[in-house]
Amino acid sequence: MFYSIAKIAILIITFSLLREPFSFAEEGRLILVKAEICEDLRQNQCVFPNRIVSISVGKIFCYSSFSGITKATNIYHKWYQRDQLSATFVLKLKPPSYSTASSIQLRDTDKGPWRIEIVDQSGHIYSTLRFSVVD
Amino acid sequence: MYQQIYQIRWQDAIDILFVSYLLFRFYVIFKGTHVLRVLIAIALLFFLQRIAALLGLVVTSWAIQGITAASALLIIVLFTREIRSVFQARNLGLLLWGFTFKQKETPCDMVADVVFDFAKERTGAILIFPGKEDIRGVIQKSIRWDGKLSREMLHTIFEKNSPVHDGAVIIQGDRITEVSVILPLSANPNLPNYFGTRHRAAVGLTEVTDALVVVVSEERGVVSISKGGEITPVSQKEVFVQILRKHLGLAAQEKEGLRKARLEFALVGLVSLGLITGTWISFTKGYDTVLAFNVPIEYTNRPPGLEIMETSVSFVKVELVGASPVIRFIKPDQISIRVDLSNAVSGKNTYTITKDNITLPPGVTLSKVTPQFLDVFLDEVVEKLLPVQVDWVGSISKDILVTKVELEPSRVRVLGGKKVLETIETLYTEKVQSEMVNTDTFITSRLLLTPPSLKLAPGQKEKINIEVKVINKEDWKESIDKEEGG
Repeated sequence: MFYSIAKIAILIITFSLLREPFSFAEEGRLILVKAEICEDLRQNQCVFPNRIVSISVGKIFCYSSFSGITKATNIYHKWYQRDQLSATFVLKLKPPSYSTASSIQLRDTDKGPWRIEIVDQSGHIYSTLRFSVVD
Repeated sequence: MYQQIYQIRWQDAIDILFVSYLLFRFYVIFKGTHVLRVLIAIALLFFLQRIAALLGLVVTSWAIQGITAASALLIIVLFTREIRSVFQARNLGLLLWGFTFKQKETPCDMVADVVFDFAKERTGAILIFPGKEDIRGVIQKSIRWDGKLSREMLHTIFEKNSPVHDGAVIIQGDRITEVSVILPLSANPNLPNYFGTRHRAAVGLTEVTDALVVVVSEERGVVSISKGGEITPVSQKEVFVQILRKHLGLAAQEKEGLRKARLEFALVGLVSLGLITGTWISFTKGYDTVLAFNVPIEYTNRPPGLEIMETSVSFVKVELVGASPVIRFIKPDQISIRVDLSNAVSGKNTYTITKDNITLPPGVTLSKVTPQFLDVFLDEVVEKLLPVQVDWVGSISKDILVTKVELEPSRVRVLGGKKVLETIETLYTEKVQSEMVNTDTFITSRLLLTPPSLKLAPGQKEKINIEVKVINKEDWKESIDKEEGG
């Protein structure tokens, strides 16, 4: 009996740790499950996640998926090129939808380091993704 | 010209006065020597050269310059003896400020002694003291002597065995200029019969000139003085001296000579001053010489707690106008630009650079300052922890995916202006070539702190280690397929 309880406890802890890099959800707050920069999206899934993207790819996506969605809410993808805000995307999360993505067309002037902040309405940053656009 | 005189600095005044005095002293020290004449010639050459230069006569100016330089060298070689004697014989005071009012007076007392000695010894003698009139046209024959007048010299000349004892001597100043002088004899029939050739010769000369002639009778041992065609015996030495001094005008000449000497020195002083002032003006004539210097800006009285984060310029171009000899010797460190930050505030402060900010060496004026306005950004220094990102450049294969870029350290503390750091969210590395990324790799780069006012906090490393994980797109597809299939 004791071993069964211990096993269950270990499973719970392991599961919790596996969910980490996005920390435990605060009360009433979404939990970011996955956030990636990818070259394509297929069936609402990230394809070819990449941190150094060739401009010849033509388009780049920021994919994010959440859990803990109980009601419709907005999240924001803020795209910065060298610390300069380049674009802000307002994305709606509505149960049962849990994932969303933003994208930009790559132009020659887009070469350089980028970062994307995934934030909620209150300004809480869930994650910062960094990538670079090169030739 | 007037502008130049207006802009005379105290240094210029000292310069002119000092060199004028040097020139004046040269005259005083070398007066009466050949050195002075050569010096005057060199000075004339120098002025000729300056005039030629001003007129644009390039070759003439060059040639005279060469001759002047060579002459200056020659004077030292040729007149070594004179120069040495001047510096050896005279004391320092005499060299620097002393005057010699030396008169070339006839030593009347000595002459009187000798003449009355001659009378005692029954030595015949005839001495001519010319007046203002020239006697050269009257005398028939003479031998050039030009010797210093002395007791011994007179005794030697009128010694009976001397080849020049016949005839008169001419005494001018303190020198015996001629000996064996043959004079015209007087045809005056009223002269006493006992007068010999000497007496008649004396009267012969004084009849036609204003000279005074002293005759010592060989037979009678009598001293006589002839003047204006008259001849009078003189038995007392004092009377003789008095008559001689009166003739030579020595009583008045003492004061007159002193006055003349003073006048001469004053005149030479004025000429020296004029010459050197002229030289100074000729040197400084090119007042339109413009020279530019790039001068760094110095900031003073920075408010406590604020740091200079950025300035619009680091150097200011300062254009100066002045005489070319002055401008040529100016060094950049003689010019300084200071900006007083005591009233500066956090943020952008704009200052106008005026002549009040610029310290110039004497003798030049400010013509232009570029730029005229200066922006100084001051800020409170704060520390901020910032994430580091690699600044990838170049190209990358389309067949690979970079799945991981990990930096060590991933965050770095920097110090910088509060306002500056508010706008900075990321620190970037130096540019790293993405061509290096084909497989999993480690790369080292350095932080590039922009703006330069940013500094690493103590203990922070500039070196960034980059670990890159790569996967082929095909491999990625396969792994996804397996996951989906599994």
